[in-house]
Amino acid sequence: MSNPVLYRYLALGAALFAVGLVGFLTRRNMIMIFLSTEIMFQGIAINLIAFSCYHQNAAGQSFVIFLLTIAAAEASLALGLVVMLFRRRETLNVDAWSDMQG
Amino acid sequence: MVGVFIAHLIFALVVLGMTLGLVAYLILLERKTAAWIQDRIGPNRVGPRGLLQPLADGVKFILKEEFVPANADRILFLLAPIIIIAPALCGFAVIPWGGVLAAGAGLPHWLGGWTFPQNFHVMVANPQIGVLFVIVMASLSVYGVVLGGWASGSKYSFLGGLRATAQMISYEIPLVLSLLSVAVVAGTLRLEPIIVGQASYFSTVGFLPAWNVFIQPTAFVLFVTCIFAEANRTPFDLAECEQELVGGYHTEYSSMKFAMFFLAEYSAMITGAAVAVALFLGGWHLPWIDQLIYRGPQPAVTGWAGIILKFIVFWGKVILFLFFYMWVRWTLPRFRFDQLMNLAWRGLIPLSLGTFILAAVFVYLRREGILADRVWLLLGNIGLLAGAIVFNYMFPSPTSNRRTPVRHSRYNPAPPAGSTQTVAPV
Amino acid sequence: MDYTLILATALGAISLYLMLPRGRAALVKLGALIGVLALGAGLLGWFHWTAQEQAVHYPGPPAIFFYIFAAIALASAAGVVCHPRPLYAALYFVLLTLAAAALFLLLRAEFIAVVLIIIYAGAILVTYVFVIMLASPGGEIPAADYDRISADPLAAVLVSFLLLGTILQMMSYGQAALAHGPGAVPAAGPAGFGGMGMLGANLYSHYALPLELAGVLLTVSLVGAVMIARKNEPPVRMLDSGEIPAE
Repeated sequence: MSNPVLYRYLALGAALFAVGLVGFLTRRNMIMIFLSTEIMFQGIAINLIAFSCYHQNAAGQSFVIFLLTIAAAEASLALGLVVMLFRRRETLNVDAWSDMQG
Repeated sequence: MVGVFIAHLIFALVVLGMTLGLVAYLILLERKTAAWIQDRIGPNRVGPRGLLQPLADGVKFILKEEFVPANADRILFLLAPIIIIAPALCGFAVIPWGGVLAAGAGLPHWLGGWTFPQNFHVMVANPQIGVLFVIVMASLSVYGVVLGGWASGSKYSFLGGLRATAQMISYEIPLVLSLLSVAVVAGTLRLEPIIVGQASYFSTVGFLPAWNVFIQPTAFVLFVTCIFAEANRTPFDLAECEQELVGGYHTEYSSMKFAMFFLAEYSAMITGAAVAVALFLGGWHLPWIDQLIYRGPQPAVTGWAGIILKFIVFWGKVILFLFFYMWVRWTLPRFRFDQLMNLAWRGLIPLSLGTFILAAVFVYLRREGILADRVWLLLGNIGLLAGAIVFNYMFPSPTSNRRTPVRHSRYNPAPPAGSTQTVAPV
Repeated sequence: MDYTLILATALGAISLYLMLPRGRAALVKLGALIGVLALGAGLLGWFHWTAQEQAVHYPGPPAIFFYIFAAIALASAAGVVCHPRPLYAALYFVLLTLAAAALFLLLRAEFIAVVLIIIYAGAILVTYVFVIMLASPGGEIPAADYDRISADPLAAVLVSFLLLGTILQMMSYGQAALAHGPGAVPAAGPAGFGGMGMLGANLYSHYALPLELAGVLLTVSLVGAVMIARKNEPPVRMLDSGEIPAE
């Protein structure tokens, strides 16, 4: 007998990751791209918590604490950069910053 | 189990009803306090001594026209009052209004004579995260303010929303840190055990109740400052200050939607006051008189009489604290926005970090058995406060706020001296 | 092969493809309809997996809560990805955070649930909303061009949902492989599971060094953010005391 409780959470995490990936690949607004990565983070966090409950230990929950730390650091830096870029060109479009392309 | 659930449900309804009723009368109290401080009479037309004024206000709110501005974002404009009111009314859930009812205490026989099978916490919910739940709700209430400001499509509302966002993020940090420095000494986040820990007296200074306000005065000052800012009250009501932004984020709202913003603000005040009372002011502890009643410390688990006494004491302290809110509002002038931010980032956050470290060090020393008495934490806090004041004077104060830069300001568009910048004609 | 799940994945892909911003409202409604179908098919697939659930009693809240919050989470994630206006997308993300926190509560991770809301909804998303508001003034104005037309929707949807379909199929096989493995059913577990005490003890014993590094990382990013956001304007000269302002 396997454990459907674990599997359905893992499937949900994978689905969230896929949806976030779609957003990451299609959106052209810098803020939306970062929001899509946050969706992927959420999917991974659900996976980690599900494993934590499955194994009945705190390792997964500890990883989520680290994940939140990374997310917070990423958001602060990324938004700082976005604000700076927005000040330069008055647009949030990532295609505006493709100068280095040949 | 079902009986206990129903008891929690009934208590939730009681607290909700009390809060909503209290909000109406808080507005009257606010106006009466203002009148008293300004040497006026205040509202006195509706009912005896103006006591029915809240009813008149409510009827007026309902009868006003519901209005949506032409270039407002309609969905968010309608959603914002809902978003702001829901968390404001949820925060009460984890506040222990009346201690713990002993198992076996029953209802009177004309109410069915049902008895509680286990100790009943007189609160809506008792999760292990305790007071963090209040913080969650406070952090969610930011969205109502922000969206209300943004969706109105008005410059004043927008500025109010922006200010509120920056202010609430900044003041949440010292709020949580001061709260945690109490929780780390108590060893729990549940409010009920924190109150039980306070319901005693110092072992060295026996007459002083061991309330956290006496153990960690720095944390108390920080906490009170931050709940004023979180509730958008003067001197921190930059988001809705009348002289600069008309009404701030709720400029464009009318009728019951405006009333929702009002209700949320006063509910946030009550929640803040209740958390402050539970964390710092001893909760239901009745100092000195408890020695007379119980001939010893006030017990944590009591029967009906003890519960009712605790309930009255707790609400009495909350109402006194609410009066303190109003007293401050009509006494202190408003901050300027850069002063507000400087206060948070250069003053409160470092100080709250210091308080937290101090509390952690005390917990370690207590566990090692070196300094067990809580009076040492009091002395440490006083030392920290004195050190902060000395530290403040050792460094030159920031020059940006001392004088208005006259050149290159809006009163004098001349470029700063030495600059080659040209000035567009105004 | 698990055909219900393949169907659900395919329907989800079509729905997301139709809902991605393209400047046409009718397609969004059709996409949302297909999305509901995809959720239904996914639910069927999950039921297929969880058919044994009735046989074994799992401790914990009933499964219906999982389905409700999972549906909310997936729908709001699609909302984030597909809404052409960034502010609405950020609000959908707040909804996603709340649903995820509810799922964490079902998994007995109370503290993590609260921390998730405080950090994500209370800090990170507020910052996003702040920046979005700064970049786009309020009121009823149309979204920017780069928000209304998405880049390469077909390829992105294909790549992502091929990944998802593969993962789900692998899990469907793995379910059988794990059937006799150890710890298939969560036992009653240690008494303090889900408590903050357990998490704290674990963090400060097994992961003490990573925790400190995380703190360092936060400090570094704080300093970095301040340095990035600093304006590079010449400082305004202060008026010295006694100087008469020049007219």
